Amino acid sequence: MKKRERAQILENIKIGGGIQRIRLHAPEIADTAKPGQFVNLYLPQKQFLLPRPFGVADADGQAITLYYMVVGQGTELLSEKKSGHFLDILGPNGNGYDLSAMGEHILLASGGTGIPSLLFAARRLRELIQKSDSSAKKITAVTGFRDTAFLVEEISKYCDQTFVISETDGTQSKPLGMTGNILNLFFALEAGSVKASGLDKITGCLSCGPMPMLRAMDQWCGDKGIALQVCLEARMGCGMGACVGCTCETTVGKKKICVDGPVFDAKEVCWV
Amino acid sequence: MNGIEMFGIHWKNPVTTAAGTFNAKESPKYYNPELLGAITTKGVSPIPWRGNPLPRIAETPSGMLNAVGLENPGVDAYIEQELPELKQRGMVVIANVAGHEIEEYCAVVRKLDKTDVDILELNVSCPNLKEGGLAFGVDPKAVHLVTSAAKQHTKKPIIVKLSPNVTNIVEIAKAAVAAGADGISLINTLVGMRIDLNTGKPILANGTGGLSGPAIRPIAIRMVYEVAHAVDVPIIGMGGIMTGEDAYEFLLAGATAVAVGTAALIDPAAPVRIVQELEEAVRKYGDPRK
Ligand SMILES: Cc1cc2nc3c(=O)[nH]c(=O)nc-3n(C[C@H](O)[C@H](O)[C@H](O)COP(=O)(O)OP(=O)(O)OC[C@H]3O[C@@H](n4cnc5c(N)ncnc54)[C@H](O)[C@@H]3O)c2cc1C
Ligand SMILES: Cc1cc2nc3c(=O)[nH]c(=O)nc-3n(C[C@H](O)[C@H](O)[C@H](O)COP(=O)(O)O)c2cc1C
Ligand code: FES
Repeated sequence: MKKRERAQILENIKIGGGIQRIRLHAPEIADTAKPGQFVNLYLPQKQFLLPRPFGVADADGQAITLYYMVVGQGTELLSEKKSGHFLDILGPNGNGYDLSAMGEHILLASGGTGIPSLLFAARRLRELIQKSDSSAKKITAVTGFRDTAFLVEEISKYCDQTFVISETDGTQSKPLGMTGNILNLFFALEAGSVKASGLDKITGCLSCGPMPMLRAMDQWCGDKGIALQVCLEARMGCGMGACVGCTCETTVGKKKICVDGPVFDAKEVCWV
Repeated sequence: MNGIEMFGIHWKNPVTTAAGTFNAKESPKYYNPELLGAITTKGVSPIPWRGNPLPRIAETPSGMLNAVGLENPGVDAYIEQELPELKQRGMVVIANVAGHEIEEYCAVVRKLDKTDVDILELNVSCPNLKEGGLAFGVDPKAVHLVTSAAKQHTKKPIIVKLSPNVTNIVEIAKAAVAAGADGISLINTLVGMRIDLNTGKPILANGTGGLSGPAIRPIAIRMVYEVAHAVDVPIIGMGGIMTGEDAYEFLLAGATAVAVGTAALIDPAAPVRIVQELEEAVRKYGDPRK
């Protein structure tokens, strides 16, 4: 049976941009985790009851990798834990992306801390392409950040082309050097200011990031008839389907983001 | 710990789930619910309720706030989809009943009366829309009215679940018992709030939410103690039970049984763990009912 269990920290280090990488020894989770799924991390201090959900960024053999931004008390405390220590963890939770039917040219569109789950998706998609196990032939990543970019080098290893845009720091944005959000970047690319090979031939898109960005992606993809899967975020009480803290409205009724999602077909989401 | 008898119904042990924290599809992935004394299910209303907008959850020191707003698929869906499976597996099932006016509680009770659910639990912490939205549970007269009305629609035992957001819990408990309540459960959540320092606005979209978890346990223990000394019906005690020793403390305060809520949200297998730990506590400290 699935259970909350103790996992040893193998590594917990700063990688820049306010981001930490944590690797945990969790063989059972590593064995089954799929891109788009997440784990609950519990803080060792008992006064912090609630789980911190983080998207799985990699899983191999014995360990899982997560990337987290230090944004509050919990992630602050987490960043102080040393390798060798233990953390309670539950997972993998949620459904994950469907990587099978996304057509030939797949777009991965991330905003901020949405990138870890797409990094995992990129790796798995590349493996599928190499094994000719999928209709996919080409992967493009478009990654947006508020300030400093992170994980771009990692994701670009698996992608045919990778674009970066920062809202505040144009020197982070590659190759255009402009500031703005992902949509600004798409429009610039479409206006031809850079050769984005085949951006007009995207067949499917996976997207993870803040709600306003996902809503904009829904419009952009909807206009072009591109199949879009979105990975939603919510404040969670349990992360396992018991508290009804995380429901969202869909065209097929109320759904729980933590167990029915976090990945949804964008067409099913009632955007508010 | 040995089983208990409540209203002539045998429980394997004195532990149940607290309403709104057990999901019939998801929770059994973490433990076998047949191992508990009873299963208390989420509040059901006569028609589906949409609940509150998100965020519905906020963390507090040793506790959490929830403003789910009793989102539920309605009593018909409950009777068709959730109840049969639990009853087929032979569990004692307590159905938690919600309403915005007395007639709504009665509508749910009438439908549940025709099922094989074992016990009904009236959640009187719901806002009474005809009385300006104040919870039924803060007014002894309203508690009396809703309890006696519900009793007219069923022969099944009725437990009234008290709200702790009152000055005198004993007065409310007595009103429920005078109206025919077969048992009392307490406590429901305490009304609380958290404000986001960046926006200056409440974190919960609803503004306020219900506080649960270990932070409320001393209040729950005190209230169970007071009510147990004032009424003669069985009591289900709850509020921040995280371990078997916490459960044992409620039995010492006078509860006949205990319910595990928030603990099961953060350690999904907590209810069965607490059954085992309670046995150890009884071995260590002796029979709490002596
Ligand atoms: C499915 C899912 C996947 C996620 N994946 C990642 C990831 O890979 N990397 C990453 O950096 N962040 C991710 N997040 C966001 C991350 O969970 C929060 O940033 C983190 O919980 C903040 O904890 P804190 O204690 O530092 O913040 P605090 O604000 O002190 O936390 C207080 C409470 O609010 C909750 N909370 C605060 N911010 C968020 C938020 N944005 N989303 C959900 N809950 C929040 C916390 O979990 C906690 O219960 C994900 C969120 C979800 C729902
Ligand atoms: C997410 C959540 C949902 C709840 N839903 C209900 C409900 O539907 N009906 C009810 O009577 N109480 C409900 N409660 C209150 C609990 O049943 C319990 O009385 C309270 O949380 C105190 O116990 P605890 O500290 O162990 O959680 C809910 C509590 C939580 C945390
Ligand atoms: S977070 Fe509890 S049901 Fe989704």
